[in-house]
Amino acid sequence: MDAPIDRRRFLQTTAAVTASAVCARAAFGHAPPRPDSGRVLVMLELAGGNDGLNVLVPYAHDAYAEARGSLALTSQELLRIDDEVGLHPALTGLKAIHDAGALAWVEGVGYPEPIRSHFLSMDVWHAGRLDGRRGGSGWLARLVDHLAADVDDPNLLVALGARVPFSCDGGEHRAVAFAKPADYRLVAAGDETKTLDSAVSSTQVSERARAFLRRAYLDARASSDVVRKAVADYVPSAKYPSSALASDLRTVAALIAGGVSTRVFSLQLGGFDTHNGQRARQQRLLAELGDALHAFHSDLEAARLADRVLVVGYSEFGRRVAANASGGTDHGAAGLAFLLGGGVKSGLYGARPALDRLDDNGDLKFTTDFRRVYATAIGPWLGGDARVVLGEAHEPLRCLA
Amino acid sequence: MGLAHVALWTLACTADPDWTLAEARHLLDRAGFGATPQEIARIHALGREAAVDALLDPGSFVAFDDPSPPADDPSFLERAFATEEERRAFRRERARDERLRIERYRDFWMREMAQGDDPVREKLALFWHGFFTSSQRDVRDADAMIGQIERFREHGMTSYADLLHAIATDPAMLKYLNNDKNRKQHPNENFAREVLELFSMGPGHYTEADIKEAARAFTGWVAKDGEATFVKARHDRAEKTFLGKTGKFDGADVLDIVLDQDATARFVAAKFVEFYVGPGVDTASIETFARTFRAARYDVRTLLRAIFLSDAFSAPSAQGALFKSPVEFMASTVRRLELDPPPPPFLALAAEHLGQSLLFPPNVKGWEGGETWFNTASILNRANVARILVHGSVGVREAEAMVDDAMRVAQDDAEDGAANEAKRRNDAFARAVKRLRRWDSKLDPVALCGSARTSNAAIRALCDRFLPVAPYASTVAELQWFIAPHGDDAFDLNDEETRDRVRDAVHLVLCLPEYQLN
Repeated sequence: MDAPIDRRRFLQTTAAVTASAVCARAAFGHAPPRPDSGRVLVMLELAGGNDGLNVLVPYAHDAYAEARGSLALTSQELLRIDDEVGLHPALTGLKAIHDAGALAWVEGVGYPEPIRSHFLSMDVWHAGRLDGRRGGSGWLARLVDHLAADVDDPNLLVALGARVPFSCDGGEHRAVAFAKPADYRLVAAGDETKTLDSAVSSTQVSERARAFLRRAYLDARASSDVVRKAVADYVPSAKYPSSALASDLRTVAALIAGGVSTRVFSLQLGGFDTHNGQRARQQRLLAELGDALHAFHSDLEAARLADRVLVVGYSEFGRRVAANASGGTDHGAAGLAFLLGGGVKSGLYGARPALDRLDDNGDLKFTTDFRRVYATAIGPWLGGDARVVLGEAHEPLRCLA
Repeated sequence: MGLAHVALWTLACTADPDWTLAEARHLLDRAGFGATPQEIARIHALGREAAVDALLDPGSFVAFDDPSPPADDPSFLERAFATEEERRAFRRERARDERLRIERYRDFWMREMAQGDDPVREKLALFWHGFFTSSQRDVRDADAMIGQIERFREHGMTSYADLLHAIATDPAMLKYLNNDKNRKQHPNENFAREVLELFSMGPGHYTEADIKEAARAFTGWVAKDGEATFVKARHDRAEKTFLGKTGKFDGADVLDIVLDQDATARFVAAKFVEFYVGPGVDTASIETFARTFRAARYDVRTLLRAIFLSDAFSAPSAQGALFKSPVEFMASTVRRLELDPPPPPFLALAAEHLGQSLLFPPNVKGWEGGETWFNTASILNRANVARILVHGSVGVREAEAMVDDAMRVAQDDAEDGAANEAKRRNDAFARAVKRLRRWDSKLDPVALCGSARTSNAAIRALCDRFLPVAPYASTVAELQWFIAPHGDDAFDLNDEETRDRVRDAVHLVLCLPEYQLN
C-alpha cells in the first residue's frame, strides 16, 4: 500500500498527543456533535459484476431475447416499469419502493475504455478515478476528509463486513469496520485493558506500520462501545429478512437511529460473478437484495429517517449481452446503478445503451460516467463539492427531490 | 537456555558478525511460522548459508490421511428408485460429509503449520494457495480442493512452470474458473483471463484479443470424479494467434508461450518478494530475482535461496516490515507459546474469524494481505483469540459471553430459521470456542520469561520471544508495572499471584501492535 502518510495524524501521534487525551477518548468513546444536516450516504457494492441487463430488462427489444437465449426473461415474468423495461421478478421489494417514488435507476453507467478485470475495474470505482489505485486513495475516504476535515471522530466512515474496501482507504479518516456488532469488543479485565491502553497510546510512534496498528487499536477502543450499544438498544419498526445484507442494513439503521455520527457507510453483497447457473443465482441474490432494502426502507420510513438516508447501489461492470454456454454471462462493460431513499425521485436516469450498437467485445457502451452518480451523492445530497473529491467536475443526475 | 534473556535484535554472533540472532529469527519468521529461542539459536549456530540451505531442504512429506473416509455415495439403483425426499437426504448427507472433510483437512494443515516439522513447506503451500487460488465455495468438491492444496504441499518447492501446467488441468481449478465449461462452441474466458492477469504475466502485457484466443486454446477439459479429462470434441483445434504467435495451439502451448515472457518471471518473482520480504524492495532487485528464477527454469528453491540470502531480505528495515496474516498469527502464536494446539477445529476457525479462511479465499486474487488484515474489529478479535490461547478454558468462559451475544443477535435476525452462510460460520466458530471449555493451555509463564528474577528481565524476555521489533521503553515500563505493581521486592515467580500476572502479561504482549508485525 503506498497511500501517503497522513500528515495531520502523523503530527498528532508524534508530537502533541498527551496520554490522558487519548485515554479519555478510548475510555468514554465520546463522539463530537454531528457537524452536519444529518444526511447519510450508504454505498452498497454488488461485487462480481451485476448483470444489469437482467435486472432492468429491456424486454421490448428483440435483440435482448435473441442474445440471452435461455437466460432471457419474458415480459410475463417481469415486474413492468414501462413499455420498454421491467424488473427481474425477484425484485418485488425494489418494485414497491420504485412505485412509492423513492428509487431511481441509472442506465448505461461506466467509464471510457472499460476494464473487464474485477479487481482493476473495482479499483476504478473505489478510487473514483480512471487511474484506479495509482491515485493512492479511495473516493469515500476523500469524501469524508472533505466533509469533516477538522473533525477527529473514528465513526464518520463505517465499513460493514470482513474487509474494508479500497474506497475507504488512504484518507486522513479511516473506516471503522466490523462484521458483527456484538463481537466488536475487547475481552479483558479492567486492569489489563488499562495497561494495554497505556502501553499502546503513551508513546510517540513514527514508523508507519506501528502507527497504523496503534491507531486501529485506539479507534476500536473509542468506537466499539458506541456501536455495540446502538445496535443492542435498537428496536426496528420493520421485520428484516434473514440474510447477511439485511443484517448489515439493520445495523446501519441502528447506528443512524442511535445518533452515531457516521456520515458514510460502505456495504457489500457478493456473488454477482454469474459465469454459470445465472438463473438460479441471480434469483437468489436479487431476492436478498430487494427484500433487505425493502425492510430497511420501511424501517427508516416508520422512524421518519428515510429522508436522511441515500443508498447507492453499484457494481464494477455489467455483463456481456450474449449469454455463454454455461447458462451464464461473461464480464461486460456498462452497467446499472440505483439510488434509493426518501430524497429520491423515482425514474430512469442516464441513457439506455443501444442493444444493436455494441462495442467490439459485444458489450454495452456506457452512456453515463459513473462519477455523475458520485457527484449526485457528494453535491446535492451531502452538500460537498464534487470537484474537490473527484478532482474534476461531473454533472449530478437530477434524481433527487 | 539462557537465550531468552538476550535481546536478539542487538546481539551479533561472534563467529560471523554479519549473521545475527535477530537475522536468524527473521529467517525463521519469514520462511516458516516463527520459532522458540532454542530453535533460533540452533539455526543461528549453522551460519547464514547453511541455515538457509537447511530450511530449504524439505523433510519427508506428510500427506493428509483422512481418518474418516468419504461416505459411500448411493448406488445407481438406490438413486434411480429414490423418492424426492430421499434424494434430498442424499444431497444433505453429501454436503455434510464434504463440510466435515474440509474441516478435518483445514485442521490437519493448521496443525502442520503450528506444530509440524516442516513449517517451510507449509508456508510455501500457503503462498501457492494465495497465488493459484481456488475456493471450495465455488469448487464444491472436497476431494478436488484438498487435492489442490496437497499438490502445493508436495510439489511447491519444485518448478513454477510445472505447477502452472499442472494447475491448468487441476480438477478444482477447472471448476473454480469454469474452464470445465469452456468448449469450442461457446468459449468461456474466465480461466484464460485470470491465468494471464494473476497466475503469470500480470496485467498490461496482453490484449483482450489474446484472452479470447487463449480461451479457445484452453477448451476441451472437463473435471469428473476428481479427475481432469480432455474431451477432443470440445476442443477448438483451429488456428489461434496469441501474443503475436500463430498456430493450432492447445492450452499447454499457450502456457509455454506465457512462460517464455520476461513479464512472467518478473511478475511471479515480485509476488514471492511481496510475500517473503515485504513492500519497498527496489525494482532492480526484483529484476535480479526474476533473472535468477528464469535462468533456473523457474526452480522455486533457487529463487527462495536467492531471496533469503539477499541484502534486501536481511536489511534491518525488512525486519517487522510485514503484517502477520491471521493464519500466521495462529500458527506462530502456538509455536511461540510452545503449546499443544487446541482441539479441532479451533485453529482454522479462529483464523477465519480473524479474516482468513483456508480453502475459502475471498476471490481469485487471493488474500490482499498487508494492512487489509487489520481494521477496528480484527485488531480486537486478535486480542480476544490470543486470550483463549493463553488462558485456555478460563479465557473460553469469558469469550463465551461474547460469542453468546453474537449468537443472540444473529438469531434475532433469523427468526424464520433460514440460516445464512455468515451465521452458519459464526455459529461454527462459537461451537469451536465452546469445545475448548475443558482445554488447558498448559502455558508455562515461568519458562516463557526465562525464569527471570526481576520484572524488567521478565518483560524483556517476553518481548524478545514475541516481538519482531524492539518495544518502546514506555511499553516495557507499563508491562513491568503491571506484573510488579508493588515493585521487584514482591516479584517472585514461585508465587502464584506473580505467575498469574506474568500469564496475563503474555496475553498483553500478544495484543501489542508490534506483535502483529512479522
